[in-house]
Amino acid sequence: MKKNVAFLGVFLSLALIFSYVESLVPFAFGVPGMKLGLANSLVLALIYVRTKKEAFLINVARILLSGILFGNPFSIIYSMAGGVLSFVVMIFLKEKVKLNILCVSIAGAIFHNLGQILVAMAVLRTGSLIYYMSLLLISGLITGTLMGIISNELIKRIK
Amino acid sequence: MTLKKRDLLFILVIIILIIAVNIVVIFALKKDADYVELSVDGEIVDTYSLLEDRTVKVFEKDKINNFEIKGGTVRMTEADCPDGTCIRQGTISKHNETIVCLPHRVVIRAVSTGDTKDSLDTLVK
Repeated sequence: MKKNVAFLGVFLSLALIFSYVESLVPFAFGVPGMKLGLANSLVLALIYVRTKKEAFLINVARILLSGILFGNPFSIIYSMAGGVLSFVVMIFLKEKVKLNILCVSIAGAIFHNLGQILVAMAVLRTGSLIYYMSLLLISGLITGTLMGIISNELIKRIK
Repeated sequence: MTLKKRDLLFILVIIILIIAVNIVVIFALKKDADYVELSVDGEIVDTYSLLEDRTVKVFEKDKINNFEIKGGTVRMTEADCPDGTCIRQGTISKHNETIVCLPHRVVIRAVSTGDTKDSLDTLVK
């Protein structure tokens, strides 16, 4: 149990560092919501090497803390919607459909974007944001693939 | 890391989805035109609002090119040009769409007054 707490603590701080690095690097290319999702790759690795309960815990804690530290209340709402939606989809695809980690990662990235867009549409009461979806789908495919590869390497080394 | 059949299928579905969404967005982004520009011999002769339905005769005599504005769309209804292509071009209603009658050198272009990007400028973080 003690070891468990330390392990998850390291993961959480690592996820926070990744979130911080991401908030520093303007990776957006002019498209809001587009980012690498480094922290997501950690959560994905956790799903594979630990239990989904722990992974979910880290995910939520990471979003709350990075929102408080580097963002604002609104960014927490957006991230939470994206984070929770992508987590549910990733668990479903991994356990029920039994997809490869690469595909799980891509789906996670895409649904993270989708969750954020849906909340943004609800908050701003505009439907036109759905146009971003075409760009975010492509970026989700690319970053999801990259993060899937990283997670895969990470899992090999943690196990 | 081995990719099984279902994994490849999944990636294929994602790619198809991306293409489909992009096609939808490209068509949806086209704004409805607000008025049409009528040009004869390369010069803009007149503009007509799409808000009111009417029929316009391009030429007073000699040649016939009649177009109809109805419910925000434009359609060439009558023409005596040899090929009749302008009639077959059907109705236009979106920004920058055109009906061209080459033999009579008539161009009808639909124009939107609004900037298409305006509606998209909202900040998401």
